[in-house]
Amino acid sequence: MSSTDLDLAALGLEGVDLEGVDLEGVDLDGEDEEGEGGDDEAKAAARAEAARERAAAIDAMSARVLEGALAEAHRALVKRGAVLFPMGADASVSTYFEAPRRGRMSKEDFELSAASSPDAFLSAVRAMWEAEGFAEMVPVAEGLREVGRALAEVPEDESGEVSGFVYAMF
Amino acid sequence: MRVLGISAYYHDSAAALVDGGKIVAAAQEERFSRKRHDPRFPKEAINYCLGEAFLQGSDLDAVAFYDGPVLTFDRVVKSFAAASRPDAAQFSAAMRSMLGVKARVAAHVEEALGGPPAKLLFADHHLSHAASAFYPSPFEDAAILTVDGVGEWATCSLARGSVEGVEILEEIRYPHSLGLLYSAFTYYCGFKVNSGEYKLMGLAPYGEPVFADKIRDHLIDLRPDGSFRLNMEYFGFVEGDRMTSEAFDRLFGGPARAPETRITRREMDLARSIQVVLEDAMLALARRARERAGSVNLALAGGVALNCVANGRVLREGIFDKMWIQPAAGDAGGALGCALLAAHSYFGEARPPREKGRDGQKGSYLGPRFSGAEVRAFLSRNDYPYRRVEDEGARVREIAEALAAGKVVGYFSGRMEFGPRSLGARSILGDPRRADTQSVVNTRIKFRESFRPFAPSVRVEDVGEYFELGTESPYMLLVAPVKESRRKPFSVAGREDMIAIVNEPRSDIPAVTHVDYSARVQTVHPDDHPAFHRLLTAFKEETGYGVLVNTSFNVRGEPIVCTPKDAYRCFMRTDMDLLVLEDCLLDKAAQPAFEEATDWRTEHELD
Repeated sequence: MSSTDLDLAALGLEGVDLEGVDLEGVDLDGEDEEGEGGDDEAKAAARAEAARERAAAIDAMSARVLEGALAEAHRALVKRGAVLFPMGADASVSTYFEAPRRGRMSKEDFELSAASSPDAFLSAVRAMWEAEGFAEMVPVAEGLREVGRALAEVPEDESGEVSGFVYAMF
Repeated sequence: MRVLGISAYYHDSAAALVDGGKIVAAAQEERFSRKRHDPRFPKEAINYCLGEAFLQGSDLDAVAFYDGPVLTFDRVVKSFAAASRPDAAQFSAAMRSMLGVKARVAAHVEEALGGPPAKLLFADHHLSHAASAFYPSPFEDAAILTVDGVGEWATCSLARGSVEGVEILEEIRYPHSLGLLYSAFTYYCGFKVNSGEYKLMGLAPYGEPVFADKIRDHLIDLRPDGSFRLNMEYFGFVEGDRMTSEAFDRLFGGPARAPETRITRREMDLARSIQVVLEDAMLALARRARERAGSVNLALAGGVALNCVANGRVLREGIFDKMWIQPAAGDAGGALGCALLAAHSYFGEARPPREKGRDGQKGSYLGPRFSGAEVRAFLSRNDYPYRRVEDEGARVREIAEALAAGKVVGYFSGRMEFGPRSLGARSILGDPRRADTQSVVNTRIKFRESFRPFAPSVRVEDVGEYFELGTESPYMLLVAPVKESRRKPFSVAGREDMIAIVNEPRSDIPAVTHVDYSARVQTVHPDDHPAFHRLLTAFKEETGYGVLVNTSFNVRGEPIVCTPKDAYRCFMRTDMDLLVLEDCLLDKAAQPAFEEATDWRTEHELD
């Protein structure tokens, strides 16, 4: 199946660029196999299947960013010797305390326009990375836009709960 | 100004309402949803907060969120970019979370309020914690220390609070985190990260700090100024889906303990060792905070501030004259902190004066209350037999007599607590003098075996009779030694059967005395919870002891009860003898058979 054959609206992926996403083995036709008039159980099963398919598609998009833009950013950062954060002790520094990014918040700091949509959010992230001199990371933000758009179309209960580990990590 | 604060999507979501700089209401979502540590958007908690103040969403001046999503996202993606072998499943899960549910704050707020808020504000995570520590404290000025797993990039902040507000002076950044270091040991010792830390702390007194030097030599570079870095070679949380790495396993002689398996000497010694290192770090940070902020008062928040053993050590070292700890020190308290921060820093609200020199947290009784009429309506509707005892003196005497006779009492009185500890509003109470209270409450009510003794609630005026503690501890966040005169000879040396050890009397209040003679003290002030204070007084009149066992009103894995219905259900599922629902008393023997369609033991995931 080609990504161009898909009914993206039926999958809740309207406007999402699936080009290059590996869809092998993923049933993305979005049709209820029981057809109209199927019983509730069949409809629920079809919805669950559609949700699984949407999740698989989003996983595939994320994987594409991870293996593409993010891997490239990692290689470029390593090549130029950029350190995103230190991984251990450093005898050359007198203290590990750092000045805060901001000690207080101004009124403007409280008002985050980037919260209005995933696109605005990723634009803010991109701008920050550019300002910090992490140009290598910019394609990551761009690559994640389609993930953000896809997730915006996914029903609430499919957008994933946070595992305990994700909390610990993030 | 009326500001609603929200914490959500990570752990323990919550809502808090501040009006004119005063705290009106605060509650965790888990109490309503009955899902422990519920991370979902706190719509029920928001409904409660608005209802408590008779407000609609349109009456709010702002809604504040306790975290800066751009910087958090920045850290998450850079973590993956730094990893040489990033995990695809973890990356996808992170993006689903960050760009999915967490990107819907505005929509969730609008849905919960029935329309867009006047303003939607975002506050920095550690500034929110710092605000939650300083603004409700009794201090005019204070050094502020916030220590947690991570928030945006910061894992630890030193700040100053004054009439000019809250200002962060310096910070330590991810991945170097005392919270995550402690969580790594929690995981490695077979407990659940984000809830088992309390068990690890309780396990420590059984062990010896034999691994402390190994931790200092290999895992953490702790500088004399209190700053620190972890050696990420030993941790897995940047590269993959484990808290610890294979190097960590090799360093401590094998893989992590599997959950629910036997706890061995190794786990006891690891618990003690990491506790010692954590305390050293907290002391160094406290000294630095004292020096940088130039105040004799300390305000604490962040998840690590729930480590009441470390708090007690900081207090005893005398680095500060006074210390105040936000009772909802973890992420739930961020809801309160961001609301306070927005009220004072965004709207310029003046800090309300402290009444009688006491704090502004109101005993942390900030949750729902159910009137006597509501309780009676619930009981009558369900035909549950009860006795109404309107005379408070008679009521507390009857409860005290039951406790003195060895009965276990479910106690539901006043507004529910905000924060993880039960403080006498939703508590299970028992007699601390009885040697069997520990095992009875654990096996017949909590349905667990526990190596941790219970906490004591003591009248504030009596604290010096029982404990070596020269200050109030209203939120059960300070550990203090039981007075030497009350102790009995006892040793854990060479013994490994913790249940046998913990059931052996170590003082004349054995149910609340840990194996190192320490206790997690709650002092009860009559201004904070008059009814609970009167009950303690009645128990003292009955027994000569102004102290009670106080444990959370729930069973293992269940959120603390919120409503009369929750309380009745928990009462009937367990072997509690007496239930007190405001002025109504329910005897277990008088209740009809309680039948449920399913086995409730499968309802809650074990913590």
